[in-house]
Amino acid sequence: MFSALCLLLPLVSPFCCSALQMFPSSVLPQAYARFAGAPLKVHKITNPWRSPTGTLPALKTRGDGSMSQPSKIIIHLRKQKYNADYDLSAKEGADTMAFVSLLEEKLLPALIYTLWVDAKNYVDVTRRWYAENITFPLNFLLPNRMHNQQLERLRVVRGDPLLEPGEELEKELYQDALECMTLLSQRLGSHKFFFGDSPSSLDAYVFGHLAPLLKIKLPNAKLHHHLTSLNNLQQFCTNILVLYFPTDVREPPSRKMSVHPEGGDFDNEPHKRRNQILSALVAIGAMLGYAFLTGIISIQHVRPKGAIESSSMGEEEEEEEEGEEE
Amino acid sequence: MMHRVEGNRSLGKAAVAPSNTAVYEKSVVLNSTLPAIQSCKCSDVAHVMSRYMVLYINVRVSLANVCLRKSLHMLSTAAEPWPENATLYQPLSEEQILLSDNASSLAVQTYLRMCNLPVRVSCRANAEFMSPSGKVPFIHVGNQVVSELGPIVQFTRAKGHSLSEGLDDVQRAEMKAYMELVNNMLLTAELYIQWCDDTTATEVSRPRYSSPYSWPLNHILAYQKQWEVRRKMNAVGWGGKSLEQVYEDVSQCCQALSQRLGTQLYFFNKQPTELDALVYGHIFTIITTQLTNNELAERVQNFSNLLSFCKRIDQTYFGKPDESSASSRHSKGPSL
Repeated sequence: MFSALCLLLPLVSPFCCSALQMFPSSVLPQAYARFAGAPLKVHKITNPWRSPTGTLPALKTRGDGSMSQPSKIIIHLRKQKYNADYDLSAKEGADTMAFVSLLEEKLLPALIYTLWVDAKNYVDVTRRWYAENITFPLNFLLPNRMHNQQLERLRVVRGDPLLEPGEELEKELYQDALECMTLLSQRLGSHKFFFGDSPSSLDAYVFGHLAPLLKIKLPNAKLHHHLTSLNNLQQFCTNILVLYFPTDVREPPSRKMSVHPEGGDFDNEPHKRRNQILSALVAIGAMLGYAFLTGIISIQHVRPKGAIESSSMGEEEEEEEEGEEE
Repeated sequence: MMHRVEGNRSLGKAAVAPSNTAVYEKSVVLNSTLPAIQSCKCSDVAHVMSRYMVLYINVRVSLANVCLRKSLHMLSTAAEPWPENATLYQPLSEEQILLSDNASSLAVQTYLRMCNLPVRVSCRANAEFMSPSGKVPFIHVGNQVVSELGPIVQFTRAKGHSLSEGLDDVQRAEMKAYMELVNNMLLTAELYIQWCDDTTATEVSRPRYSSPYSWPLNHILAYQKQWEVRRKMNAVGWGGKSLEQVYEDVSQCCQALSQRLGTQLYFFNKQPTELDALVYGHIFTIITTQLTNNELAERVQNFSNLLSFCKRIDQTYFGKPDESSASSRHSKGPSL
């Protein structure tokens, strides 16, 4: 039963095909599952429409169908007795709720802004990841659709329908986010985890929101700079990465390669040969089609008499065409 | 008048907006130029409209400049003492104000009383449209307008009045986190019950919200507000929740607050903080407000330490010894 849990994640990753994904919604369920020791099969898929719920990430279970909101995934794991909060007292449970609210209200809007709305970050990083990793027709549609959805979400949450991305909005959102990070840092103090010696769901939430900020190299990286200035929070994230995501820590060098395409990205491109053959075939098809339509090549039915001359003419022309293409 | 209001709202959530007088001056400019536009015998309505739009945009730009200058000005005048004539604006307390607004307003009043800062409460039918952030309540102090509890707390701190000075860093972080918990859960649940539960919206919220306005404006404004809140609920992921799930969330939130409070006098020992004001504002309003059914109040009443906490603050800061008279004062909220 438990092995049937299967987490579907978007195959868009700052770590270049590592298990750790880009967005809080993706990091969070994974971190929680690893903290709680739940066996989880992670599948990466590029098309959100192939997910049973239509969005990513999604958790597929054998008995209870599938779910996609991180909080629902965590509740489901808890019901399966994979509870990372088993040792917490009631007061610590209350603190968890409070700090999760703090993260959602103060840090998440800034995170959405910096990944999806900030023009430089969106064009240079987020949209490129999607464009490179999603299959052909969707890679033009999905990033823009998600960009608009996230901007709309910010507008609605802030209650201002005329909200435009700009310095004023950025200043307000970042001010909240910086304050939130400072508060978290103060709460964490010199401890290894927020409560006791083992990670709980609050650690998963905090890690889920901070790891993307720490690990993604963005052109506009104010939040990243503030996070690196808070030593204990940075140490907290690094610790969890080393302890619970050991396979991903080795990845950063290759990630840098993927961010800068000049440095050998071309060689790593998958299906290179296939794509070359396909494009050559398409080009030949288009040229032949054009030749047929304009009458440069014409196929004539073989007639019993006098067919040899005209058909040999046609063949000559076709050979010329082929020669040009090569 | 509508345009002054619009211009004012467009300033966004700036913590310190231009004072009413500054906005008023701009509106005078607008109003004096309006007849000029109307008097020109221009049969082309579209042309008038386009000129009107240009004028409107100009006013918005100049208002933004005023706002900037004022916020710069604020830095230098932050240390000015609290004036006697500070005013808090909220919707009409008898027939208009809704549960969530009443809770927020009570929280701000309690906070100011805890700080010992006098404030006069003024009820206006268009308080929501006067507020710089579009949310009530807001206070008008000297030549500054500040809305919502968070910015008001910052504003009073700049003036040298603070309740959370005695806390250490960890406690301050926890206090901020619990305040977000109340905003994230209780306030959102109140809004959900008011506007997304069809019975409550039809019988209580829409009639009360639109009571000062005549037909057809009352229907337009009420449905506009309802549509706005529902979009917000969808954006924060509450759109798909059922009423029962929302009640369950309220219970969980109160459970967390109750655990945190324990047997203490206030959330952080003997000293009240802005968190106490916020929790009191919401819990007290919920238990003293009659909605279409008592489910919400009953959920909260399960937590006896929160109830005695409310009673204690009510007696200390509002000086009414028995709760029945106090509740009659506040429960003029959304009752039928």
